[in-house]
Amino acid sequence: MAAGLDLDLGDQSVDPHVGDQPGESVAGRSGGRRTATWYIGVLHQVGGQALAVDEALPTIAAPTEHFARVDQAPDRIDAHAEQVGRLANAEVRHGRAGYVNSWVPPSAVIYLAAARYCGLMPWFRKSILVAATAALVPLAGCGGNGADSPERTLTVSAAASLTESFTEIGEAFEAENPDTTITFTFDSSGTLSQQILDGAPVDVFASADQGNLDKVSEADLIDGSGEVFARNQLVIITQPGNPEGIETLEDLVDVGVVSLCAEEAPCGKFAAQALEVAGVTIDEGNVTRGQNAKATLTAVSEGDAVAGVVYVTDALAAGAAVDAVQIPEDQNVIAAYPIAMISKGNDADLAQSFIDFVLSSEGQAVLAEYGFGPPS
Amino acid sequence: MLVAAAVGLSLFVLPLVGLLQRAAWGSLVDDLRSPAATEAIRLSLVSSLAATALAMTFGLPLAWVLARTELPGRAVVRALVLLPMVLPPVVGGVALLSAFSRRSPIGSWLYDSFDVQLTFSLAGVVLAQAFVAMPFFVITVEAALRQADVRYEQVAAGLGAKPTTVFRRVTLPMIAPAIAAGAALAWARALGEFGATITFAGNIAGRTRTLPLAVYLALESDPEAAIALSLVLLGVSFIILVTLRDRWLGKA
Repeated sequence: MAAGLDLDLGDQSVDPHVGDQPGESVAGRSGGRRTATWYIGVLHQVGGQALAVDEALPTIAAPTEHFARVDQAPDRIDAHAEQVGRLANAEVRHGRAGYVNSWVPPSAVIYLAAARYCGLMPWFRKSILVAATAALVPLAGCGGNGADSPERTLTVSAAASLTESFTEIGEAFEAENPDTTITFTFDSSGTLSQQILDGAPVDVFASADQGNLDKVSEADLIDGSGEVFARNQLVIITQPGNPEGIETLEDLVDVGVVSLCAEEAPCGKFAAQALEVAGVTIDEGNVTRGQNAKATLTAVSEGDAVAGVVYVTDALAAGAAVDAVQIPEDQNVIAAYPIAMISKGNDADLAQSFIDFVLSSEGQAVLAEYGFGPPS
Repeated sequence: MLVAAAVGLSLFVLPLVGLLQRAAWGSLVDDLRSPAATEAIRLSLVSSLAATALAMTFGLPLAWVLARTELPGRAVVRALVLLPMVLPPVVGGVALLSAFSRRSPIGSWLYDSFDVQLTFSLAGVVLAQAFVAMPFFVITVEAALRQADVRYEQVAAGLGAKPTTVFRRVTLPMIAPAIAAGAALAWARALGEFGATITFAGNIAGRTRTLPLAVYLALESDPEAAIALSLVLLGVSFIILVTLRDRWLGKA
């Protein structure tokens, strides 16, 4: 007999399988079914206990969340795997739900595990679960727990040509000063000075020329004019084996595409100086400009540029990827690299000790190893 | 809902407003008339139009094959075609370099047999731009082809038209708005291409220094010029998107 009931269903779902057999629902509506089973699934995982559904349901779902039934099915089905065959955990798979062993989003499990780990007891609200499913769960830190190890950090902006040497100096400094972390930004000194002027949080600035340091000190971000810590020179780089047989700056004129640094970058300015002294003019239509010394070298080592002009140290660092051709002393340019502390940095003592380290015999030894000349 | 939408909108509007208020309006025209700027603008226009033409020439057959045929492996082909859309442009540049530089098999063959070098050339710029722009064209046209009613073409064929006639007189007019929209999108993307261009074609004044590269270079030395050039790009992109209009972008 089908029940003819006048139901105001609102926005709740209706059980489509209306019947009059035991266990089948007569008529009814159910709301929040999915949510209820979510809770059940999650509870099951976190509690570590297999809850019988009938025990769980009343604690979470409101009584109105059931369909009207003709008969209640038995509370528990005690069945063993052998008896029921493939149905393992039959006592837990009972009732409408049977969702206890359903899939729980990994992020929800991770979130709850993290919550337990951090000593939080989260409220099982739908919004938290939704957020956990949607968001990336950061496990690290558990919310600012770093009070037991005072980490000192230092941010250093250094010219691109200092990449290898300063990385090694940074590692040596960190080894001598535990609990210190140094972060490096390597790029053209022009770009770096612009970033500092725009407010980048930098503690130490190592530039490839005095001009860029002066730009920063004019803005009152540096006390004084820095200290020269190394010198560098220019060199011509070619493809391995020097197939075009380049020997002087003059040979660069009609040899193909030449890679030079951007005109405003220190290495670009120095290259222009050297070319002017040598009386050589390369057609701009044959010059590809790199944003910094490393990019300029890459155009030769990875790309098809026939030759380029970069620092001696860059050529050394590139190893077998390029061939180096000396520029005579009277045409070459000596680049003096100054280093200075930014006044608005966050750890003046650490910044000063880093600068002292660079100027010390240990730092100088590393720089010499990479081909830099001494400061004076 | 409105508040959230307003916040979302401000993410787009604020940077543009910032750019506009930072511009040196007084010297704008002079900045744009400088040889470096006119060169970059000319180069950008030429290369992006060529790249769009290339994208259309090869993108239309590709879209047709993806939409109208039952060839096996279509899903893989579609994924490959759409790859440049999700690939970081610099990675695209490195990939092009590995394939076409003078050290690569194809590149060295091209150089030895035809004296053609794609890197550091305008052709290289066009190739890099077409590489990133073609997916936009293909995806737009393929969607339109899928939506177009096949019955019109079947009727035309039934009335005795050859396949080429069907394509020319029935299919093309039906998807013409989508082709236009796809071409506009591809052109906008080609115009703004930076990473692949600078990696593959280098940064040579007058030959490969398109507008975005000129902006990048000018940022250090002459920020005013950089902003002036940025405004040009901004204006062009805005005009393209406004003229495209919802019905073309939405439908296609």
